Amino acid sequence: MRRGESGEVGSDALDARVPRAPLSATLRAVLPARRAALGVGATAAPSLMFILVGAALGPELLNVLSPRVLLHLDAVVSVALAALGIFVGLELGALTRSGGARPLLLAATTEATITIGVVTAAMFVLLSRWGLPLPMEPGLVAGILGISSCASAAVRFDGPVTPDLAFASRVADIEDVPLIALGAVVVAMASGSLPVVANLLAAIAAGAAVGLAGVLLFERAAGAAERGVFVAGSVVLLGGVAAFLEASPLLTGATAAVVWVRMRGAADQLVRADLRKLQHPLVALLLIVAGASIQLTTAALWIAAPLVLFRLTGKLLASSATAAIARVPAGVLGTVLAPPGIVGVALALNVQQVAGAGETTLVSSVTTAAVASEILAAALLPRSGEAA
Amino acid sequence: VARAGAFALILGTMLFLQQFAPQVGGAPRTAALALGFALVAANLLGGVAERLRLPRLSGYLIFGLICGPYLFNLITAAMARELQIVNGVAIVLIAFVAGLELNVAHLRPQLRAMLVIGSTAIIGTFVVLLGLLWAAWPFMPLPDPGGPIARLAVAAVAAMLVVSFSPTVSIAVIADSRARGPLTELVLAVVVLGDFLLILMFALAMQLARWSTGGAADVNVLPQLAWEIGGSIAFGAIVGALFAFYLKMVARELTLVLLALCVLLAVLTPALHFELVLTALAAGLVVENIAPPEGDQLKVAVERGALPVLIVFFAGAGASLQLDALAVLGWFALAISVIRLLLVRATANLGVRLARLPEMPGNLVWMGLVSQAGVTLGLAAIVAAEFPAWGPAVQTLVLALTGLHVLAGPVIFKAALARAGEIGKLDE
Repeated sequence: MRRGESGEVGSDALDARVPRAPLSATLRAVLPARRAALGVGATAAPSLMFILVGAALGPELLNVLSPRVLLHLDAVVSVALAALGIFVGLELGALTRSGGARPLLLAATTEATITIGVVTAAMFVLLSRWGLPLPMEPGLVAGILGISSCASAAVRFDGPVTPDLAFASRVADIEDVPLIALGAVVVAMASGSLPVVANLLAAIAAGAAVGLAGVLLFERAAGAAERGVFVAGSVVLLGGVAAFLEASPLLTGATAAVVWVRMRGAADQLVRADLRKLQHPLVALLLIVAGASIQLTTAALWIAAPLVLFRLTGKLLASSATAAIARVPAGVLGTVLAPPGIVGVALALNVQQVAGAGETTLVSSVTTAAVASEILAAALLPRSGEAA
Repeated sequence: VARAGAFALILGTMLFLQQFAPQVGGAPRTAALALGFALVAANLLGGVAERLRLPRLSGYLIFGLICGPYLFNLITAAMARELQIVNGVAIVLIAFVAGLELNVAHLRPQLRAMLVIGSTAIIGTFVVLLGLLWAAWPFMPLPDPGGPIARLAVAAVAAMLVVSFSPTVSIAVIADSRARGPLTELVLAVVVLGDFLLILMFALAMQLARWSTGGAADVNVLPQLAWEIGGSIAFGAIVGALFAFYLKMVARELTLVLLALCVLLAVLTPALHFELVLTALAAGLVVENIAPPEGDQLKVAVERGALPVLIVFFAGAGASLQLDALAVLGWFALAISVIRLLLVRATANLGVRLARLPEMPGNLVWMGLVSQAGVTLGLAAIVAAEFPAWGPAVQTLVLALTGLHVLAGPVIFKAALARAGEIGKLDE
């Protein structure tokens, strides 16, 4: 277990690393601090702020981020997605290298599978019956909604970290791995530019090639400035390769990161150190773009509302099932896993990229649902003493 | 070997992508690919250039040229255009760095000498070229503007474009070589002065061309010039003062703040009809001369921020070089280039003598004035748009000349800095 300076556990602390103040303090005052029962931060989602800022700046309100500007930001979004993939890949690589990963992987996979299964099935039934105008087949849309629902926010601990809490927070980190794998498949299906298998293989091959090039370059750079260029160039290239193939940058990024961890040398540590500087702006930009992409159409709202409920149901069911396997109290797992993570929003953005500009139903519903889920999680989770 | 292996992997990935999925990827989807490829691969070629004792930025340029649309087409014409998104930021950053190197108190004793050299080189070369072009115009593969007066005006515009040099490239070579010393200071001052003169003389030449070709002369030219030059300096000074304040009071995340400042200037300056180089230079001058930064924080921030921007800027410039223009005008462009080179050398050396500066390093100053790049191309585009009868032909000539000078200029200037023993002195 790795505990960060601010009490974050796990390297998927993207959500937690995004600057919190002053919104965090404001939300704490507004929302009931029920998660304090476990010493878990009352709100784990400063992401909310950036999504709302994006929504305010977007075409629906101030139009500072006009559709033309958003189109120009498309390339940066790909890069930010690749950076997210890298962080998840670094975490996965470190986990598998350290040994003893099986229980965690099993728990995360079980939890993710159940959540995705519940949300996908429920949404498929609803979408098939409603006959809403959808950009893709109802099955594919339901799958995308299910997979994006699986992401959980990284956890910020206010109090002492028990082994159960630490395990639950690691599950929240690692469940991004199945999300990225399945997400890459739905992105390939949504794109349709290449056969699905070819798309996936090309993304993995290109990610591995860029990863290998990084291994050869990072430690041999002549100084920090040149290393910064190599690291930044590799991340941009990973995003660019995926954008060119209409594949998942999360997958290319994660693949390269696994190469960096698994190969000899300190490539992974150098990337982690250098990327930390780009992390805040990239993630903030990703969320602002997601917020700006929100179009509150009837279809988006009709999808978002049940999505919030199905996600919470799925998470609670999955927590119960996983608790038995992992021997961790279901209340702890549920509390930690309920708030939504950034990677789910990122996947929706990625699908929007490959589905074509103008298609905003999915990203609108997923982003709106993420905001609503965070508020719901903060409001409904157990009060002091109830969780454990 | 490791670097060669990494280069092969990156190159292989690009070739694989183009072969495997050539039908995929519209224009906006290729921006990140071009940017990432340029950052990694151009930087590697920059390292090779450095080993060959060439400027690193020649490596970036050659990368762009080789991978660009005229040769291997790994960076397509659309990608090359997308790489130029950073142009404004790069120009601002380079000029800002130049401003940071100009300490007025230190330069004051040499100011007169710098003015003499700069004005002699620019005005002298312009006058001789004007005469030559006017006399030789009927024999050149360029359209006849009609009548000796019109020919004089057109020759003035063409001569102005041919004389112009690139402060951006010269300053970038200095930054790239970590150079410091008398030659560096002289060239910096001369290229800055040249930028002033270029704006003034180009505006006047265009006025003459409009009048002589029967168009309506712009009566507001002087107020416009005053706004452009005075406004640029004032705006730059304000931004510089704000940045100096930030340095004193906060001084955190300097690389990001510096890059954000450059983006802001690159967006706002053209919108206000100011001149990019002058604005950014004034900002750097204010920081250096009013509130000089303490410690190495800003230096480190500049190093970290400048390298990727320079790589993309010059790789994009290389990929955008229009080799077809060189093919069209070939020997004719080469002849004009040689004449320009000889004239710049002769007039700069004359200026050194008039200013009574020692021959070493004075006689090397001309080598810092060979480069031409984006500003010249921009001016040529304006000429082509405004004078469709002869402007496009002049633009083609300028494109060909710029192709030659952007490649040769940095090499020649770095050789001069090496001869003056000033390379790497900034780090000592």
